[in-house]
Amino acid sequence: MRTYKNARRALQRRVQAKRRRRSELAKLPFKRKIAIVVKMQEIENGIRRSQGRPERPVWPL
Amino acid sequence: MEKTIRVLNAMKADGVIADYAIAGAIAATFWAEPLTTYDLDVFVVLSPAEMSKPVLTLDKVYSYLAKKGHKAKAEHVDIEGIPVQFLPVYDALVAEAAAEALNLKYGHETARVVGLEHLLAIMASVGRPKDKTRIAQMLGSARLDRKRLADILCRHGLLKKWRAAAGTKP
Repeated sequence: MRTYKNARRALQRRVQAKRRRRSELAKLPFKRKIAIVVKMQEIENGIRRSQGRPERPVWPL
Repeated sequence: MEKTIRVLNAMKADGVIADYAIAGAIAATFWAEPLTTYDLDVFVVLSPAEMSKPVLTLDKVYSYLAKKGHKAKAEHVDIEGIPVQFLPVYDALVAEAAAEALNLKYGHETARVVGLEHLLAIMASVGRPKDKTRIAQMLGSARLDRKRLADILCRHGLLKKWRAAAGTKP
């Protein structure tokens, strides 16, 4: 029982940390956010490449 | 991105369009956490002369951009390396969102970006699975004027769609 309680608390901490992180990301300057979008495009293209799917254009910054 | 915004502003200054507003994932990224996307969605308000024609087309936009060397490919126009999708304002909500778009500084340029509450209302009205996901993401990270959102949803008859998309009251 105690194990479940601890696991639930740990999970709640994780969820709260994720929420905090997303709020922090939302507060970044727009230009910085666009740089993150471009980074995500590169990461997704890496996955597409490994799956043999056609890549998509990555935006120039 | 800055060069792309410069081209959009030039289109407006040259009278090709009356106005524009960035929407979709990039507008959402302005208001909340960054979202993955490959294209830039832009609502365009055509000139009154174009709007009075029986059939709305973006021919003027496409030919202007082609003359400037920006080629169309399928539903996008490549503007300085960014695929841009132009959508003419198609209903009262989108027209209002474009009219009330905010001026946002990006480098040396000023971009017109759809406001957060209008963006959420448009997502609810479209209601695709990815719109529902984005609404949840934005509600979790953006600072929202709930009164303004409720007013927009109410005026455009979208309260039911909002509940279906967001699973909550505005």
